Amino acid sequence: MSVGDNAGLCSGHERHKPLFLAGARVGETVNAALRALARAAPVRRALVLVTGLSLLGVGGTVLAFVTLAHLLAGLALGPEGLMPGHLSPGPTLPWTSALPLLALGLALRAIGAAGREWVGGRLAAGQVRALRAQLAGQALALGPVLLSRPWARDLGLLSAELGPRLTPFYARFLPGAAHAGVSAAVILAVTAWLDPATALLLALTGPLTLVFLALVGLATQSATEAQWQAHTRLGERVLTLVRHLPTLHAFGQVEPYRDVLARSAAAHRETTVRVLRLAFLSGFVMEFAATLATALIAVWIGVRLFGGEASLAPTLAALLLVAEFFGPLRQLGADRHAAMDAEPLAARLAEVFALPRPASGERELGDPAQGGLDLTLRGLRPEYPGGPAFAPVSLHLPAGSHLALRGPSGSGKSSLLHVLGGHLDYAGSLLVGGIERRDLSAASLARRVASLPQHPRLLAASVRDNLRLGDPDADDARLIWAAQAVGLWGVLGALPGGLDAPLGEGGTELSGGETARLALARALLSGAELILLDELTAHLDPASEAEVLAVLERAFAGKTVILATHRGVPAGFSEWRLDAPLRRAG
Amino acid sequence: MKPLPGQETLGQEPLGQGPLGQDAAESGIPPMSLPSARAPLGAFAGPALLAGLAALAGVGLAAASGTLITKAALRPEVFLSLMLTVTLVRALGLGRAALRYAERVTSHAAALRWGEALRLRLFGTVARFGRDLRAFERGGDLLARAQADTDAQIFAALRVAFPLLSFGAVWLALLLTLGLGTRSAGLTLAATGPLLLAALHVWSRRRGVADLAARRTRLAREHATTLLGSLHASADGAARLMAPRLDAQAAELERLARAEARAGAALTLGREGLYAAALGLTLWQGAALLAAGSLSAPLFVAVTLAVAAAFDVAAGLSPVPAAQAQAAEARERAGALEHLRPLVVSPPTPAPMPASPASWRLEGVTLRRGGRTLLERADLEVRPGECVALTGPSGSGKTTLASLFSRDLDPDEGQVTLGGTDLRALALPTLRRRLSLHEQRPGLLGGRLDENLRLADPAAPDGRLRALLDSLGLAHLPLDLWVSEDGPLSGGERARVSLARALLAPGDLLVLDEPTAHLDPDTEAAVLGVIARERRGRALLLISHRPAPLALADTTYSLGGGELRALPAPSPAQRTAV
Repeated sequence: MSVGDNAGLCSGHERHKPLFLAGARVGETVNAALRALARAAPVRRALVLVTGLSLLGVGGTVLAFVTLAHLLAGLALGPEGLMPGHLSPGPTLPWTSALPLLALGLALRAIGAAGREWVGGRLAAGQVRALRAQLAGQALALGPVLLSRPWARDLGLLSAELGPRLTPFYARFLPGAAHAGVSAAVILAVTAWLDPATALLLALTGPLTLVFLALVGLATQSATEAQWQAHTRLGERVLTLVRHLPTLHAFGQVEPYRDVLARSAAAHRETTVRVLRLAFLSGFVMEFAATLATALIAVWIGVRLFGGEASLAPTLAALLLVAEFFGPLRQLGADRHAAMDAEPLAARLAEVFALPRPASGERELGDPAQGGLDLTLRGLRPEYPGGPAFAPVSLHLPAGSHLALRGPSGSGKSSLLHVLGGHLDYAGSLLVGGIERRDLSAASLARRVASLPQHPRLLAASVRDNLRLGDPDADDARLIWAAQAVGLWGVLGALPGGLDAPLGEGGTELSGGETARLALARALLSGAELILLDELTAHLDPASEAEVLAVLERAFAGKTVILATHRGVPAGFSEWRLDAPLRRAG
Repeated sequence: MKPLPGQETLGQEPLGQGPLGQDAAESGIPPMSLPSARAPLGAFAGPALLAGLAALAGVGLAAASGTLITKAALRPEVFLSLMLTVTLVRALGLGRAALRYAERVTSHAAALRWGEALRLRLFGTVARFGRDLRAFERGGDLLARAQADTDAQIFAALRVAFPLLSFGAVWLALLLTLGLGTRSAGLTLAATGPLLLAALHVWSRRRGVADLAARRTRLAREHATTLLGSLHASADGAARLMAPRLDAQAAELERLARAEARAGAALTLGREGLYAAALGLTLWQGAALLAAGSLSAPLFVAVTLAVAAAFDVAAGLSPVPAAQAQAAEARERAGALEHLRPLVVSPPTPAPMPASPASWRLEGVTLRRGGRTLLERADLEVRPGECVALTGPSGSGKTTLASLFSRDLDPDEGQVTLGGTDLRALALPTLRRRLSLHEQRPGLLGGRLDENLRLADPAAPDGRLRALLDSLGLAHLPLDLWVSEDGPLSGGERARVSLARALLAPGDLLVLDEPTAHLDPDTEAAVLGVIARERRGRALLLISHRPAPLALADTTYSLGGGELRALPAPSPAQRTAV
């Protein structure tokens, strides 16, 4: 292997697209997703408020600057303004009326600015909370169906990044856009009244700036995105290598990889800087337009004043307002980058929200029966949008049955469990406790069902907290009862600290079999009567598997238990075989 | 590309090198050359200067424009006397844009360069841990945040230092120009006093702002963890039980975000108030000086406009505290990671490597992990050429026992030896080259398949790799296939790629952890045949709870409840069955 081969690794072909890097590929839909986020009713209400505050603030600024200009002009050119050869200062204001007007204007300006910031911040806080709640709701409603998505492990990142990525969009970009529009229009109108020549220059340079911005943007955007993506990937690559350091150490390849990393990082930086040089041109255009327009206007006003074609007060006011014309536009240009950061996240959110929630109704299951739930399946087929067409299943399970669900991989064992658990829609009929599942309320069903995945996970928390996931109100005696029922108290009780002993990362790691039994203890505590187990024993050695099956037989007698498995049928279980899907849809 | 002796020293040196250097001195090992953790001041000096100049040019432009039009309004005798100001205005207008552009390009170049150094530093920091399992456990959370932390540190210079420098430059320029130019304490104070107060206002609120930001970040992580944890822990019960907790966290997050918005608005309100005060005071003082004839009208207008423009620069200070706090936390975490001591370190003066082949032995080894005793005074020997199998229930510590040989862990009592020498006396890289590892959760680098294989034998020709893959039932995988953590290989395929890699490695002890998990019986038999063939007389430590691999063994040990027992040798009939 030459080092050159390694360098190829960093050239950004990685198949797995980290969550927020998928953006460039789907530029159009991404923008649509972000736009959709801006259309919510609270956003529109807040933007109306921002527009009002902006009008107030810009009005205040205009009042303050016009007053200031008159005051300055009066002071600069003398009270009468009539030294021989001097120009009239224009209408002047006495201090007594000027100061209150100046104060009023500046106060309005302050209120406008602070108010915009406050409204924007509140809007962001509220929207982020709403989206977070929607994401959590969707995640919990879809449960295992969502977890089966390839990007499920990014869900945590998605949730954690909501605030940092969307706050700039809601708090700064949207209000900033409204403010920039308002201030540009108002200031253009006011300068047209004060000094039409200045307004003319603004009306020319403003749109011209936008045109140039768009041109520069077109030229650089794709290059920038590709480059930034490559650069971020490099960061990912470093982290991947860091995670794999044990492997590199095992084969003595740490130093070569460090060199590769160093060299490809340097190469990347150089190309990134080249692209940035272009990308920052848009900022340059903005700055250039703003400062050059100011300079041009100042010089032009100077020439006209010198020629006696204008008076000082209105032109000075116009000059002061020029900065206010370009300021919000410049700020908007800067905030646009922050808003673009939110685009891939918005696209992923839209994707999560677009997953159909399983149908549910209003009906409630009756009081918990002693003997578990009975199930009747008639021509039942799990329905994934665009998924395979599974063979229909017809089956009656009396309360308290234990059923092993078998079949080749892809035959829909997991999907069937998802349907039974209320996480997936179906065709045909499914009666749970005599009621059609799609008519049941989701909460009513969830109280009676527990579904355990192949790899149940420990929370990095105490034994008590881990068990209480099943029943937050359970007292210690009940927790110990459940641990004993699954034959785990011998292990857990012996840990230093007992129920307070930390489990999971940083604490005691349980074996696969023990973790499975802990999950079963949770299911017991939750009082669920229908227990769905998706290959719970698949990765266990025969001894651990036997222990788990013994627990099922002993502690879950009387509850309805369905175990999807590719192994043999456990003792006490009846068998149902699923056939391979008939055909692939789509 | 054979690793040269000493090439891997990066990872194997004992901890304590780098910033402290103290432990390094004790152990007599020269400090490892990590890139510096502090921002390279030199690299940012140029961009900082440009940032300051750009801010000055902005304020200067406002002042010069005011001067120009006031002068023009006073209608001097000849227009030519205005030309100097006209040129100044034009130069400042062009200059500010050019300076800003140059500042952005150079500062990002410097930030990227530093980011590169920080990432290499991170790599170096973590590389010191080698395969030290306990160190990775302690550093896990720190590592998870490393990427975001690196970004926070890189951009701290741009988000913290530049606004501060720009403000400082403008404030100082105003102070000096007015103080020396007008020699009026009143006007100087009127122009610079409120401006300084605006900066102090931000400074006085820094703790509150930083605290809010930190709490929000922490809670957002907690919310994400709760969400994922509850999803994984128990899909259904969780929906019902965790929803209230998630709601409460989201509500608290909203409250924090609102508090931040209020704090931001309060800062803006304060700044605008001080802006009004500055304008009023400047007008008042300026008018008095103007009336007394000690200030010219153009200068008066220039001062007023400059003060107004300076507050634009002050507005850039508002985001500084949050960025500063973020960077400080990031530095703290990076520091914590650096000061984490690996428990498994290479000795300063390694003993000579025992000649190959030699016996590997556990001698009275006791090992405790997470409150449990995995091994209690255990003895085990793998003689040259021998195949030793290790069996026992999941979670009994088979994998952990094997990791004693590669020194991912050191025993709590007793010793592990190679040819009679304690492993702790041997140089780690050399020791690990005596081993060929196949791990149960194989680490495949995101990269090409052949690159992953050549980790074990950089010189292996394509034909050799191809033949090995084919014999392991992986004929359908092209050598240039791109593999990553998530795909596209199935669990069984990943395991066989890792097995092929272990077989390629030159070590004289093969450690194969569950080499045939995930395989159907036919493939398993074929794979065991390949292992037997490719072993070529090397010693083999085989971990499995399946019967077929165990039949390869000369000696079988069973591990359970901390006890390691030798099982009776398999009958010849069982052996030939494979």
